[in-house]
Amino acid sequence: MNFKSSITIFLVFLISLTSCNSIDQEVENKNVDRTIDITSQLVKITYKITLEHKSKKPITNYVFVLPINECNKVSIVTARDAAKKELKLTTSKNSEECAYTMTLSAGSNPVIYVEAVFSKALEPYPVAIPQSERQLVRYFGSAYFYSPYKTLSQKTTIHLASKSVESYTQLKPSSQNDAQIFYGPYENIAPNTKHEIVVHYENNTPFMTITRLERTIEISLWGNVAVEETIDIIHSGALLKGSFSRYDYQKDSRSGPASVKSYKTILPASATGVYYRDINGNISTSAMRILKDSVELDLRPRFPLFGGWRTHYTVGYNVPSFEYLFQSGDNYMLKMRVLDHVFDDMIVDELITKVILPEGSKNIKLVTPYTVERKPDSLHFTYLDITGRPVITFRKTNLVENHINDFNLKFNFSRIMMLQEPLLVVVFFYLIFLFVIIWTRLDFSIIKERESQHLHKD
Amino acid sequence: MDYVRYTSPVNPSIYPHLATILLIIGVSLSAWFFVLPKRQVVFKELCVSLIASVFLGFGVLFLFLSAGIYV
Repeated sequence: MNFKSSITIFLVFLISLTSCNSIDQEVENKNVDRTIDITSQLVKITYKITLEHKSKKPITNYVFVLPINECNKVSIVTARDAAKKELKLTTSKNSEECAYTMTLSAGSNPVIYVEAVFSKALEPYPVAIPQSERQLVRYFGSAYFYSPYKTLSQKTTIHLASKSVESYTQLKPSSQNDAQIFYGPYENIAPNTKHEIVVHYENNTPFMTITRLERTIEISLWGNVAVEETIDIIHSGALLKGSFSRYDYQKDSRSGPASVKSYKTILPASATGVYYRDINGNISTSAMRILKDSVELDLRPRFPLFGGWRTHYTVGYNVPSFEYLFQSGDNYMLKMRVLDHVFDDMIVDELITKVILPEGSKNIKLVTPYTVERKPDSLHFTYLDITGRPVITFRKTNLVENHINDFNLKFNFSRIMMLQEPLLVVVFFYLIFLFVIIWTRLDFSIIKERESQHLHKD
Repeated sequence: MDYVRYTSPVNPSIYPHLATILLIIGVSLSAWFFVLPKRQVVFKELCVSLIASVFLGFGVLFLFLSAGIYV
């Protein structure tokens, strides 16, 4: 007992020691180039970090850190090395910051490219605007690159949605040119230094959040994969103050600059039988264009979306199975996207992906490109089912376009089971015929055949 | 394991034609079944109805598939 507990304490001590020591103070950020893209509703920051070791030793690992207020908003962080190869990140979080530790291959040129995408980091200010007003938003960031290492030289470029900037925090040297704001170069910034900046500017790009996206993928081994997406969207920009005037809206095409009239959804090139409907039925104000490498849907909701307004609809289509389903004997593998494009620079609060497999599938194995919350498997009953089709469900929150990636789903299915459905109908028809055969041989008349003939003679 | 692209055992483009042909044969056979004279021996009736239900069953399946109900 004592021995065990002492070992645990030692282990805990060791772990804490290694986590403290993981930041090598000899490592320095030689040069950091930050590009902050706030042209849409997302905040996309790309960092080009050039590293240097004081005593010229090879750098084996590096920690990229976000302060806690940004941790809650970050949707995805990816890192690449100089050869554009993706680096594996291990995440850890405490009350002050969240850290992304990456291992660098020895001898590689110590340049790291990090891309971080934040959702809901832009705050409409004013919070509510009348119909004709343009939308102003505030971006809160830091003039300095927040890092546990010393930064020798750094500069930041902010790309804005428009030239009209209400105000931005000055920190010499900083300047504005057209739709860009420059900060830096700043020299010799100590580790963990923050200097908050606020940029207040005009941004009329669609501010739309998908509050819930339910994506159902139904596989049929008769050569089809049916996809259906049920989508709830809210306009998450500045709220509409006062009433909506349809007259003003139709009269002047520039009226309601912050509202969303329509948006584009891109479907796979092989999509057929596309539908777009809500609880009232088909929404006819939509257009479909078949392009070389995709099908483009121009979706126009029944009403323009203003701040705080919602819409709910369903989009569905069929794709042939040979594009996404692979076979090796009785082993099958489905390779499909976890989520698909709904509109550019989208934010998805909650995604639920359901995969309905053929009846009788066994040994189901799911491999996702990132961690998801797997829900308990269930059964789905549809035409010609007896035992129900297995349904694999998984959920993830806070997603952006960078999450559009393939998952793999492996399952076993014996092909003879495909005959179950037609045989079910065959048995049904045969039972009717048998019933008829028996029915014609039963005699339901009250009077015997001969007696009735006698009666007729009379 | 080498995975190859999965295609349906029957080409989906012939589903409507297959449904039409199978259903025509199935309905004709069941029509014949209903006009068969009633005999003591049911063997012929059982055979005809079995063939008819096989055609009808597969016909209905391909009708479903061609209508977009992918079972």
